[in-house]
Amino acid sequence: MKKLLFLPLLLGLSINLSQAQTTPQQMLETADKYRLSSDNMQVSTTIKLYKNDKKMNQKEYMVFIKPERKSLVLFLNPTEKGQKVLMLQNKFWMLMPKSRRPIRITPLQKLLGEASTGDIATMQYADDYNAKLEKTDDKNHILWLEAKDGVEGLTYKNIRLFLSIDKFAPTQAEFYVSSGKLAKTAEFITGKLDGTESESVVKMTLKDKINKNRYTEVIYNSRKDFVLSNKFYNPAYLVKNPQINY
Amino acid sequence: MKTKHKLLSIILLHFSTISYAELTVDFSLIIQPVFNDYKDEANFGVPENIIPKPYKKSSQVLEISSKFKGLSFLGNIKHDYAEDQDSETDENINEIYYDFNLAGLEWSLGKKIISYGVGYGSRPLDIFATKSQQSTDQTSPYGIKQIGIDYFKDLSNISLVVANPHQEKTDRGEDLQSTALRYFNSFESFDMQALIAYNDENKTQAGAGLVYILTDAMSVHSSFLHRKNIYKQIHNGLILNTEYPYQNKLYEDSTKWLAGGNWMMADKHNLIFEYWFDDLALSTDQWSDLFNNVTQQQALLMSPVPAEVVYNNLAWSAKALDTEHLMQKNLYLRYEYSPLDIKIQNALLYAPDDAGFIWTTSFEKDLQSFKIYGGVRHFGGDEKSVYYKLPIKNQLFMTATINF
Repeated sequence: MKKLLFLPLLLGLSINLSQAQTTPQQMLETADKYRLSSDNMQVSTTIKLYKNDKKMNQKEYMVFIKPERKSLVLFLNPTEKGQKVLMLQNKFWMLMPKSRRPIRITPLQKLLGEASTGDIATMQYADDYNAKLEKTDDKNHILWLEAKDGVEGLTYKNIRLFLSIDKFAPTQAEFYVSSGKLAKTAEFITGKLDGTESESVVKMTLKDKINKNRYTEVIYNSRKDFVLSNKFYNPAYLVKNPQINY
Repeated sequence: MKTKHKLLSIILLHFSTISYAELTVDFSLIIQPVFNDYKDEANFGVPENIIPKPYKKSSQVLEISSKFKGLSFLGNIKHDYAEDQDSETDENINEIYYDFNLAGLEWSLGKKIISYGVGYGSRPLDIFATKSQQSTDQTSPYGIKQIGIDYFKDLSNISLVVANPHQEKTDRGEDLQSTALRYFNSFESFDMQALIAYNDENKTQAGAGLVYILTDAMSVHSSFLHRKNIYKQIHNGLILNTEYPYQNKLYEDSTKWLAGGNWMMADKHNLIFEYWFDDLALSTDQWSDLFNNVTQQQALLMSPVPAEVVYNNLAWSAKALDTEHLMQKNLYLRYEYSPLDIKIQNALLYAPDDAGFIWTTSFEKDLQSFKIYGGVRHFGGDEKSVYYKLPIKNQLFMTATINF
């Protein structure tokens, strides 16, 4: 009987011990898998912009992701069709359909738009940030992420990331720019996308710290394994406005 | 009313992109009304029956673009309206070309838009560009007939273009037969390109361009083009002429260069600053000669010389202002603020040699399938400056684009 009384206590202790063995960086790697389940992916994304809780605008994007921080964002809305943003580590280009030339942009220029292309295309943090455990409360592990030495061109220098206690799923985030200023906050909703078994982030709500009556929902419609040919990751090739079949 | 809007949205969404396997067809309706406020002394005082001054102008353009495998098409049906003038409707092909891969190279045959170089207010390396960088026209530019061969490796590209290969080598202007070889590569902190081209009019053209990322917020860019020969339309200097007074004058070893930067400030404020020099534009002396000529022509209006003869000569003088970059030295500043779903721009084009300027304030708003761009433009500065002497004082412009 006494042994039975001790059982829940032992169980709780074993969970805490297993979590204690998980380093903050491992927690971060687990959290990343909720957004990027494979090295080469194609992610369909919808951005909804709200003002005073009323939907003002909606935009569609297709994002292709490759390992080593390579991604290509296609703008699918009729007024933006043909527009692309190419991100190769810390190098970024904007391609406008009528200009027919790659425009090299600075990391801060990625922040333009309803949700910056950096927000849309960044699916994992572990390769770019070192994680420290700030604290653990009843609901969350709170990680403080600092850009790794030598990693340049990140949209945010620091991120405070809140992870669920049990699964290390991302629940909230605070994004800080290089000046140390809090730029945005995010709330993550996890669930199962159509045709998938595992849980992943299905929605991210971004709140701007300047325009407090506005917020942006980033909805992940689908995620699938897809390898986009290397030639599409050359800015000069994208000028040819090639058809991408996906 | 709301149901009507919903129905229209559903219909527009249904026809937004017709996709039959690999075929895509897109339509854009672009409506561009312009309202012009002319100066009293517009066109050097030439009456409206010689040079019209339409207060209202508008162009309605239906652009059609299509892609099927390697075949691309972009064309338009354009209707131009100007107050007190006959309307015009015409059909144009901007692009029609076929892309294919052969022997590890990317080939392109047909009429195609080709854009080189770096810069916002001007692009010295853009030797095939057909559209002014200062234009408020939002329609697509026109391509050139060409055979293009591209080689891509990692982030680099070598491109060979033979423009207008079917034309005689002695043809001039847009139909000029021209061959251009360009190299582009991207490195850790910069993109660079080098260009060498040849045609019978300009002979050898050679240049280079660079964009350098200085910090997370700041980039600088520069480009340079040397042309062995350029031809400028120069007035013969006579006060009264009985026939067209301009002649092509050859200038050797001309240059066109630009240096500038882009500073993306926090909170979505962006500043572009550029300075450029273009030998092809008017020098201070050339403008001064033209201005003195105009002053003497205007004085003849008080003389026994028939006014019609004087006005015809003034109209010919006014033609000198009918070109893109008027002054050789230009300073360009563009401040842009993009708070979420709207973009607001203020742009200043200033000629330091004569203190003339063009100021443009514009906005752009993007709504799903509908985009609106509009603004006001003011031509001012010193009363003797070129930009001040342009016929329009203020201009209100707008572009509504509906994609379906």
